[in-house]
Amino acid sequence: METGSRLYEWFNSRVDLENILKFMKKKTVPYHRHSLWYYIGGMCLYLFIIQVITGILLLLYYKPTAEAAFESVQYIMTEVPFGWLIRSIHSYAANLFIGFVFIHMFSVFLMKGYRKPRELTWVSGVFLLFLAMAFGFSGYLLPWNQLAYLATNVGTNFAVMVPFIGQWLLEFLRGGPEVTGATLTRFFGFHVAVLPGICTVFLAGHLILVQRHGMSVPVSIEKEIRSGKAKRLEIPFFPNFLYRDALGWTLALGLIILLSTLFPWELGEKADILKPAPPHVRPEWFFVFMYQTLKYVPKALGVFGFAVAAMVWIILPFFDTKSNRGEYNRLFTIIGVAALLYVIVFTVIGYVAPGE
Amino acid sequence: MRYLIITILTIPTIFYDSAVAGQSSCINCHISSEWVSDTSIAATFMAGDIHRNMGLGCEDCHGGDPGIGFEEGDPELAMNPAKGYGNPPDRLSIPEFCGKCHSDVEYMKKYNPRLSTDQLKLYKTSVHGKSLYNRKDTKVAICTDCHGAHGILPSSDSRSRVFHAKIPETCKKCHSDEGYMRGYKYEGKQIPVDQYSEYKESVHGILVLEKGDNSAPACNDCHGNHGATPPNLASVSAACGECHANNRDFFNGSPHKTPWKEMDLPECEQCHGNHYIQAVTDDLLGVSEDAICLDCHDETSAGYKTAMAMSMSIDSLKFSIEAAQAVVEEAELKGVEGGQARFDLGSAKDDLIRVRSVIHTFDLEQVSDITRAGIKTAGEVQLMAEAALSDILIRQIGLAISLVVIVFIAIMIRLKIKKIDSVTNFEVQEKK
Amino acid sequence: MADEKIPRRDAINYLLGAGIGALGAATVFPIARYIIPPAASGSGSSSLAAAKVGELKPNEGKIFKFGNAPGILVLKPGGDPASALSYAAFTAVCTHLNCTVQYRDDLKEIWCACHNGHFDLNGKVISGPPPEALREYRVAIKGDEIFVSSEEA
Repeated sequence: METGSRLYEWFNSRVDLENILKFMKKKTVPYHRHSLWYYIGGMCLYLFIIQVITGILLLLYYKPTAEAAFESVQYIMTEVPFGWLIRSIHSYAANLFIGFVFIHMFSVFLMKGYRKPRELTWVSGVFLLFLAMAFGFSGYLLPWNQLAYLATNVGTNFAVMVPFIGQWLLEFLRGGPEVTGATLTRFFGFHVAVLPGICTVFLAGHLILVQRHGMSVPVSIEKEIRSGKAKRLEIPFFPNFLYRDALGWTLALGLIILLSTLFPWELGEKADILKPAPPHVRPEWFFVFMYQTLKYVPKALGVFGFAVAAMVWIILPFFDTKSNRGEYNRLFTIIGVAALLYVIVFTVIGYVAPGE
Repeated sequence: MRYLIITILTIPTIFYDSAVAGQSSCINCHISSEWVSDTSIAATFMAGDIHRNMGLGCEDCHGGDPGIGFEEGDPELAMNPAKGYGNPPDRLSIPEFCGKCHSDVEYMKKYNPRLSTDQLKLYKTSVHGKSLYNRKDTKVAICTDCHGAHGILPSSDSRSRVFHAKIPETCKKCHSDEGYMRGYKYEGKQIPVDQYSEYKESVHGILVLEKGDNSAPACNDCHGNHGATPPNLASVSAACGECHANNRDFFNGSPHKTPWKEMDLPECEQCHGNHYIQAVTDDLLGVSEDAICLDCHDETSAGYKTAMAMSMSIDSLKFSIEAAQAVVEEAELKGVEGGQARFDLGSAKDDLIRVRSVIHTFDLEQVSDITRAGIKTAGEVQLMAEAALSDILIRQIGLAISLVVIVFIAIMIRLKIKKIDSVTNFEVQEKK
Repeated sequence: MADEKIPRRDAINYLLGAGIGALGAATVFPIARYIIPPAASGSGSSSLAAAKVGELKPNEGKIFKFGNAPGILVLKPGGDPASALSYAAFTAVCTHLNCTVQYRDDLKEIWCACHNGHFDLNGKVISGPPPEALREYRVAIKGDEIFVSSEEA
């Protein structure tokens, strides 16, 4: 006890612990029938931290060259004690992470959590989704297996659709006109240095904004409270909310290790540049809705359309003046539901439609 | 006139180094169309004939005096019978003519100590040589037919007609010519002319002619070159055994050796053929439709049973390897196997390759010793890969323990939440 | 009521703490094991420790696993076990039909049992059906380990 309080004093006089603790003690989270969605963000953060830890562990053995990448992952999977577990966790948590980021984004959109003053939180969040997808895209190639090689080939090919700088962009991504060992080394750089760097900035900004603003209460709940139909309820962040977070994290960990142990992430066949591509090449699931769309519309138009859609999606909150006034905005709900349905339907089509 | 002489003198020096230039009146005249109608003989000779490169001149074969005649403008001075000049030898005497030098050990040592000097001797034992000397048949091959006369290149030169990969083409010139070969018999039968077309399609022919593999046999590797002759029936295995040493030894020690001899069967050739040798398959062995064993062994014979047993034992080895291979590949794909199983399976594959040679002992014991070892290895590998696949009890126990802990923690947290919620006031006083 | 409440809460705290402790251990243990690489070799590398100095006697050979294929390390007859120059290493895959070759101390040659192929200690074919020489590896001694590398010298 003596030592504990002395230690506290030592730090307190240097980093103002008192203030932080006061903030934590005071911090509350709204409590209502939609408050389950508040835990999704924390889940994303938790999965991200798992990715950082397992990612660093994988770095101990991974070799980012075309000659050694596959073998090094094989080595991790078969020779290094618990290597199969670390790699499988990294793969499963990555997919869960992107899934939860999507859920987080759509739940925030539908609850109009982006409304003033939280527009910038939204913008940073959408950027974090893009970064997550970039993480997924670059990380997928790193084991240098045939499927990843082909998916990367197809995926990077869309870069040429970008007007004016298409060819340059393609070669920037691939490290040359084709997907080769140079691409692998480059993607490795993106995955472990460039993206984490950018991600840290956006994540810090996102988290600081969330702390500054607290959680947003949905318009409908807000209305009910105003009209006196419901009481304003809040629970303390510490410890009540944090314990609920921890419950979710514990269960997520259980799910991840269950999947990792019973179905270790496959290694596949080593990439062979000379092998002809099989007919049904499909990107990772979170790209499928876009990939499937591009089968129905002219590619250039499709790529242009997605670029425009992404930009609109980022700035959309700035146009939702109705929600800002605390009124229910049916149009934006429809937009959100439509976007969600579009992503779900096209993903499903991508998996069930016969490939051509 | 002066200009003309300079021109004439200059032409040969294009091909000709200065040490010989101006000395050999043979070349000076024979290279110029002013003097001879056909300049190609001298030109070919000068272009890299082995004899010329070794410093020999026309006079070394033809006699005469190369030091005189050109400047005088009188060829007769050079081609002087008194100085040993003679007409080119006729076909009948060419082997002896070449042999004058090539059979002279002391002489040949000066030029190429490694070159053998038994060509003429061998030639006389060959079917070619015997026909030439015994029947005065000048249609048969003599030295110049294969080596050329004035443009002779060493056999190591890929342009040479006796370069390894060119030999089949060279032999084919006569041996595939039906008209030319008509009347030539071996052991009373007309010699066929399909050797080249068969050889071309054979494993050896493809290696030599298409892959340029100098270690695969051309015609001369089995028949000899200067002493070219069909291999004696009993020496077939000696010819094949040069390379297929294991199979030769196995066959020679096998129970087939004696009956083969007694029946005058051409050893390896009896099963594998000669010029049209194809890559062997395991179907040759056994009692199925394509099996050769059936040619002699009917169902009642002991050989039939042995053939069947050997074939089955090889098949079961192959089956074991395939089964293990499939599991290993699956395990590798899943990332639970990192190459040790594949590595270990290599030994079973070795056994399969080895047993395909050992069947030439025609000894079931020896064959099944190897296949048993291979099947055992393959089985162990398969178990190893399966264990890796079903991998693994330990992982699952670890998982179970972890899940128990996790569920326990989850329950505790749940209880904890209930507890602390029960003492928390959720209601918020509206802020002022 | 109040009397019951306090102990139960304490029990939860205690059990929760124990559970988290166990989970912590279950997390740290795999990571601690993961961080230390297995003794044998690295992955897909172009070199590995094929043997220890003194493991081979002069005129003795050893097959080792190099990547997914066998290699052969030979201490030449009369060679000094401590000198890299006394060793020769090759791929142990016969150039004929990919059988694994072995060292024959009676012949002082590398020999393939499948079809009686013989190679000398430079990897060159002496006799038999192999069409090509065995590819040679570089040998170096570091400490008491004999390293073999597939990289060109």
